[in-house]
Amino acid sequence: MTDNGSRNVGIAKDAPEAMIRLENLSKTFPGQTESAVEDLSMEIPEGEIVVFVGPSGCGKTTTMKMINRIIEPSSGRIFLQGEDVTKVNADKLRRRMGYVIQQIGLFPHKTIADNIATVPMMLGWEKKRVSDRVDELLETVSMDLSYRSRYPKELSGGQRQRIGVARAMAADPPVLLMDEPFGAIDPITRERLQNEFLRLQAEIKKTIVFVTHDIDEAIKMGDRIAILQTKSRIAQFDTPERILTDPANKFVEDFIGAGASIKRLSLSQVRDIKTASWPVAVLSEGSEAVRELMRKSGKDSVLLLDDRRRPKRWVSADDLAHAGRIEEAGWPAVSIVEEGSSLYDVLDTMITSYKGSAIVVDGEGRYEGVVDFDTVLGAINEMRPLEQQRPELAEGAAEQRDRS
Amino acid sequence: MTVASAKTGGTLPRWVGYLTKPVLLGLACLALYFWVSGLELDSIEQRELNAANITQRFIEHLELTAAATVAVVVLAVSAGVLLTRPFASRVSSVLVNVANIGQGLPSVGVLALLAIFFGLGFQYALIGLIAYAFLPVLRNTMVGLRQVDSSVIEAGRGMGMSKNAVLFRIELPLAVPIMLAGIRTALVITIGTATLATFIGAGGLGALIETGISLNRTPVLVTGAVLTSVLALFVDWLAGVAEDILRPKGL
Amino acid sequence: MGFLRYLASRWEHLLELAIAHAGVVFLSLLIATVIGVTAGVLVYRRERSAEVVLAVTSTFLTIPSFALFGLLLPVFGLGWTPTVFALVVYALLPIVRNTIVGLRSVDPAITESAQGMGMSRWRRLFEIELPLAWPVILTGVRVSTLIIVGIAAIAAYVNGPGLGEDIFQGISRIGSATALNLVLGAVLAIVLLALIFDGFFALLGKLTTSRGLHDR
Repeated sequence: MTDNGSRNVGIAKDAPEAMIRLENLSKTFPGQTESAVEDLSMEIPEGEIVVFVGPSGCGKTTTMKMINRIIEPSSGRIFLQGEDVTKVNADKLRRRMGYVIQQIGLFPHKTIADNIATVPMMLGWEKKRVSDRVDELLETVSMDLSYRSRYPKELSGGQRQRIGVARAMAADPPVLLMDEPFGAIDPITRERLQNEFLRLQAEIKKTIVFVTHDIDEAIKMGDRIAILQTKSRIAQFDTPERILTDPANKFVEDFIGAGASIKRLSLSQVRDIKTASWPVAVLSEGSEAVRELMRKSGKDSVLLLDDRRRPKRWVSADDLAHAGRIEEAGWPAVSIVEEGSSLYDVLDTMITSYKGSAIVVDGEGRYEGVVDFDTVLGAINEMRPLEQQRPELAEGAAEQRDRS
Repeated sequence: MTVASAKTGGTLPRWVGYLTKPVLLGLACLALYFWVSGLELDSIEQRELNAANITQRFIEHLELTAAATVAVVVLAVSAGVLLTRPFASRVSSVLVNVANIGQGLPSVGVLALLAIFFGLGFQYALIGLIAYAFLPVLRNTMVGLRQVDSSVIEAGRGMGMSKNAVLFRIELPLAVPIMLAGIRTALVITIGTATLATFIGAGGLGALIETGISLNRTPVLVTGAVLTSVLALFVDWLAGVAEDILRPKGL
Repeated sequence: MGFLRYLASRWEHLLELAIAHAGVVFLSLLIATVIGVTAGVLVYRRERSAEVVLAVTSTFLTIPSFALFGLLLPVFGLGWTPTVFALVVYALLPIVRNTIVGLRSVDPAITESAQGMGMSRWRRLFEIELPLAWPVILTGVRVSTLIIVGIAAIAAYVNGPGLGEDIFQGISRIGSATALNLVLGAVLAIVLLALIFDGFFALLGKLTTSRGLHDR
């Protein structure tokens, strides 16, 4: 929860050791009478993604930039892994943290490989080690090794952002600072990048400070969220779950916006619920095998996969009877979600699907199972223990919110 | 102009900043005057450094400069307008390149060639000055017209303005700042080239410098050099003020 | 004599003058580039200082070259010294201005990400900002070259080196047969030098600019 009162402090309960500790940080820019950040204290637990979210001008970016002292604090102290780094050499400090900004800032005159290798080279790694690391990182961000010798101008926005992340992780810093890293990207690519990033974080478990103005992104990405008001006053610092179920004040409620309860669906992923299976056949097996499968299963349609087990088409018995080639029978399978997608996304997809269901695929696009409304409804019900078991409590909480 | 205004800081009115340069120039002239009058001048120096001679040289210089600049502006701006019309697009990029290289032409060489082909005197020097300043003003006009945002032109045509109307009411006003800069450059270049006009018998302040060097009379040399520089800087300042005044509001 | 025969007979002399001409231009450019780029680097982040520097260097360019040579005569005498001094002074403005413009035009996101990665001020300047500003700076050097190739011709009047010598000789002989040949030969040689220098810098630009920056 948040210890607010008159002090601006964000300490996480039941959290691991603090990787970063901010103590009474304040910033007033020269020539301004009002401070941008006022007396902020916070602990950022190790291995977690902490999201700073708030309206424009609340100081969230300023606060993050004080952590690596791109903006020097007017007062207060910063601790990294227990060490007071407020006054140490700033350049050396920054080499211990990864830094990703919205416009990315890749060096246009250097190759992708040289871009990624920047910090390791500065730290004096030997060439072979650097080169291996570059290859390793390219694979990590799912980019072909041939991109090593290309230049930033040849890459798309999404690709550049991946390289930006790779570059930030090159020297394997314990901390990553990310300022609206997916802000300048189209929504489709952004979602893909977010999913990939979460997959990555599950493996590497870095301590990440993530700034965004988008509450939905915060809910999706954050292990813990700090909702900030003007001057970076902490309105609530907690897990997304608790923020959604128990907003601390009206500001937080307004910020979450309508549909807070539905947003809780963003917190569960498809892979967390049990998918059903459905009869599937590979296209190349031919129509006879498919007919046989349909007869045996007793279902009225079959899902066809390609040779890499990626879903391609739905066919019914009727379609098989009338169509010529099997590749053209039935209709294309479009309601597809990745296993990392949230229940929110799944519901969204299912509403517009033909059969009221969605196909779940893994990271490579291969078939895993299907979900339908019943499955998802069951999962939703499991999320409502408080309201289900103690209805008076739920009502009381709602009353309190209306009053405050 | 920006130096002048920067130097005055926040409390003085802006026009005071504009006065810095002419005041400095005036002081330089004063210093020169006092220095010269304190010297013992021999007969040659006296012949050169009296009010009548200096004034005459001044006028010769100004006449050359004024005539040449007017001619250059009329010719080069018209040519610039014509060459930026769509029908000239292929020729124009070649010409801009030529104009760039043409800057490497030695002014004194151009003047000498004219003198050889046609003769000495004011009119031929004038042609030389025009020829030499033509390319820079042409280039500036073309660049200035080209950088007018094409979407502004499109908006004008879309509102029903004829091509001529677009030219006179949109393109030219928007290109004025760059054209003015070009005119200013023309003035400065011409004053400089006119200094060399003395070599082909057209007089001007350069005559003082030439005499001073060839006859080894430092006072004459210094007077000629200082007066020429002061004139050039003063005209440049004047042109800068005009630029600021004539710039369309909102640009 | 006919111009072509003149060229045939005097080409060694012209070549000698041309080499001297090129030499004094090249030397002056080198000095001006060092001074100009350094000045640009020192002031590009400070509005006021930059304005002062630009105003001073543009004042130099406004002073007629003949007058400047005249003023330098009592101080430096004749020959190479006043010539190089004057040419350096004339070459400064385009170089300083382009250095400032070039450095200021570097995308702030790039410098910020470099700073965020822990690059020191010096490193940022030499590894990121200067390489990115280099094409613009080089253009400034090119412009300066064209300017001083022409001005160097006037230096001959104060016994400076170069092709101006022939031009002034031709002037002193106006009316005689040799005048045209002398002047024309020198003028053409100067234009040729300008073209060669320009081509040299175009090539240098292509070779020293990272492939990642080409054809924007």
